[in-house]
Amino acid sequence: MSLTRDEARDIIRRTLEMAKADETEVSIEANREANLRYANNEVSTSGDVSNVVITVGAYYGKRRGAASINQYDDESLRRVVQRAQETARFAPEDPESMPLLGEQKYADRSHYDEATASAAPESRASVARHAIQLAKKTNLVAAGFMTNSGTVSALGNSRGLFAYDRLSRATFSNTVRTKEGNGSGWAGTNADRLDQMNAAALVDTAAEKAVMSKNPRSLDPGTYTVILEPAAVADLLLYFAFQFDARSADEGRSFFSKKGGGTKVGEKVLSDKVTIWTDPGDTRAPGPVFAGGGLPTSRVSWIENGVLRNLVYSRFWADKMKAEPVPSPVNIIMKGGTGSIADLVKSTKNGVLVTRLWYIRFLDPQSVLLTGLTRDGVFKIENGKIRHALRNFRFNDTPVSVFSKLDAMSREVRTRGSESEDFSIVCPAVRTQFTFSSASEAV
Amino acid sequence: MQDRELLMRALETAKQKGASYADIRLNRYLRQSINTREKRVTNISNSESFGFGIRVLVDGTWGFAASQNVTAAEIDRVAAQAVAIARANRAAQGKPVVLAPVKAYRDTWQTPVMKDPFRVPTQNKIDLLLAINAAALKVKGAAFCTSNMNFVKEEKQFASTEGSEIEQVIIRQAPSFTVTAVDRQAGKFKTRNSLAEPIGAGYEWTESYPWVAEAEKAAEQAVQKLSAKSVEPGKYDLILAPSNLWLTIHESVGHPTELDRALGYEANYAGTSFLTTDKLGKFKFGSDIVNFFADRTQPQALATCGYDDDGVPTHEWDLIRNGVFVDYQTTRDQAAWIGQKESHACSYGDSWGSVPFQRMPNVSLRPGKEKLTLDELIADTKRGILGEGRSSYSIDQQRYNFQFSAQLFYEIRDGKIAGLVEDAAYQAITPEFWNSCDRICSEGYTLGGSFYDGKGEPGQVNAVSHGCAAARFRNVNIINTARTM
Repeated sequence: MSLTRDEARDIIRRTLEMAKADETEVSIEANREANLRYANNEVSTSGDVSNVVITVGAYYGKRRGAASINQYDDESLRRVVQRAQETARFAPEDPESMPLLGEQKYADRSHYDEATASAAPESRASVARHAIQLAKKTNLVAAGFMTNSGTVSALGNSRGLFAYDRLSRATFSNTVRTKEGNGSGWAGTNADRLDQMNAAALVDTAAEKAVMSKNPRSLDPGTYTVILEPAAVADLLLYFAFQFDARSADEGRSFFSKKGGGTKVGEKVLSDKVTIWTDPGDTRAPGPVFAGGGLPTSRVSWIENGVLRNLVYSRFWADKMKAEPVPSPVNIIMKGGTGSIADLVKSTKNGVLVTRLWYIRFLDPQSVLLTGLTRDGVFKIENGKIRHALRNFRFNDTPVSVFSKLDAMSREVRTRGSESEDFSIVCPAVRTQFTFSSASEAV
Repeated sequence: MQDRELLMRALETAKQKGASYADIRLNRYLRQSINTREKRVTNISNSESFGFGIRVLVDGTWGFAASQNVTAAEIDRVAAQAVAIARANRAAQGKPVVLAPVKAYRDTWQTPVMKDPFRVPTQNKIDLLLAINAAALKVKGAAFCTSNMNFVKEEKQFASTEGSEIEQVIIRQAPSFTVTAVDRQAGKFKTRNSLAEPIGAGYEWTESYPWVAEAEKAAEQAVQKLSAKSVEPGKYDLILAPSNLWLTIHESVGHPTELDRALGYEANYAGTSFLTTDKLGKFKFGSDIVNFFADRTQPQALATCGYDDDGVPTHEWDLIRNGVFVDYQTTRDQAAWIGQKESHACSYGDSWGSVPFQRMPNVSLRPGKEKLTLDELIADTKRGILGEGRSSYSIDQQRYNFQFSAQLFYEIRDGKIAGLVEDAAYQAITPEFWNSCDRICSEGYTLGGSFYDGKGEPGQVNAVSHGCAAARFRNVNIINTARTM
């Protein structure tokens, strides 16, 4: 389901005309996503799903309520407006309620690609056929998943704000296993246009890793020099970025809280090699032109040469702390080095290469301490060469340590993690010290 | 056009376009979410989602398409699209899909509730949430309290070309709170979540739960956690209360007994399973006293319903009997994979727009046969740790290596609770852990559960409960996770 700017504006106008609250905000998310899944060398499930969700926020002074519905005939719009208004009337006054934003200026850019949003089932089936044929020919077992989608986001309110954006997206990931179940490899990425994604190359990488990871040897848990591939870095990066909230830091319940009060903004928190920012205009991982409430998005520097530069400020918290509002990151970009992962391996005397991480959960938010496992390809590096496969590990470690102890990086690339498959991330592979806490027999 | 006419039109169109089997789900989902912190209501939202999904088999290949636009013309378009997708995928199909037989049912089913949460005034819910926060914040040292309630109502209509027409109304709720204690000078903070679990019940359940008393106790415990001693790592006898054990059951028993995982159909996402089909009927999963059953029929359990999304009536069966792995969770298109004639009714799609596939039923540990209470079990333990409440949880993609924490860990010395310990987690290998289970209480069977069990691509959530009484595990590895930055 794709809505043009005029169609979106018309739904918002009709909804605002029905509204009786002091102030009203209407947002629309229209999405069409098609997908195909294969496993065990055959297709399994597939789909093509359209939806349009209209959310109404009603404000009576400092009382507010929200309701959403996925139909936009007049009767449905009237129902959702009434529901939001009834909810708002019940709500107690919220001392933190902020007035709605008026008209805003947004960046004039769009990376939307109609061919990606509406690709036919045959284009997905052909990728699956290629992957399955290759796997059968080489005595391997293929599983994978691909999507292509188009999403329209629009927002309008009774103060004259109107925002509209369209994004297209293609995703592909695949896991190739050996028939005996003693080897497994993975590769995947996200892109904003189908023609930017080389699914065949990702199929080849996963198959190569499956074969390479056969007959893994054991290595005692402990702290090692480890090269984390971009997919593994992406997950650690995102868990770290989850902590960027200024209010939690000011309230003393965050890694970014300063002992005795305040935040660590301006303090060195990571290695001076680390620079992390958000940039919705970066064509490698474009983000929307507006964030919640209609706030325009722009480039934000989070970490510059290891120093914390900014945190996320809601409009209320920014007002209270006399700071500028800063929306949550719409993408995360980490500056890398110049070489490839192969170059990193070549320059490593003794280490471990990790393809990706899995099932990551917080152990302690205060130190951003996480637990999780390695998956789909762990290898021993000796004298600049991959020597043999290793069994998987559980890790108990924190991105703060990973990004403080890193000593080398590859160039940054668009990637996706296991816990961050929908988030737009560009990052390098990093070489660092990493702690494996126990062994896992899982393949 | 009436709903029934639309359902029949979808089935007829799919057949005309070449489907050998088709079903349609025309579903409406109502959701309410109320969030508060301290004295504020931070969010109240109500959502309604309505639409249909059509699933077809063409030459033994599945196709699925869905839309929120519930009109006759869109039904025609989507039915044709589902058939076109199946045709496009046919060339990449291995063995054709075979559906286990099921009778045609014309029936209705509803979660038994006394008070429909969607008819309870929002004000009552807000009053309760703010009372929880106030009770917590009365405790010295408790700095913050957030609380929330989530309610879901699924109104589902199912029809298939095999003649079933089934209507169901399913109600679930997930109330919860978190108290945070902060020591600003030391730069430390600790949290304690509610031990209450999501449940498939009416609002009368929420009204009967002792929220205010638990909030006060939780706040006291959050403050105590700031100064609790760090656990001495090593081997301990571990007792897990139902509020913690349910999640360990979910991860280490529920997921590995999913047949699609065991056969590789989740290899690219959730993972596979160490319980491969060659182990069926033979593998010693746990000690002799360990018995797990699956069902979608237990009252108040989250996965409970009358029929699954294949139109199969729900029932109870054993997964682990006297410690031996004896069966899987299955759907109609999976039963034949292991030579079974009937599905165990585990098909579920989390929305009208989500393709139904195998999802976890309620998986529960049968209470012990010898009479035993938790207090008696503690008294019987010389050097142990007692865990209560879910916290951090992580397990590998074949479900061997897990590491779980708890909201509260108590040290047990000479049969008595010796106080709280912090920074603990238990780490084990699934079959070793369940084989170390030496006593299961006969008293105190309680349901825990999750609203958000994730699986599949595109990702879908499933709500599922796990019943158990407290149990003891011998010589479990307790690690210390503390890390100073």
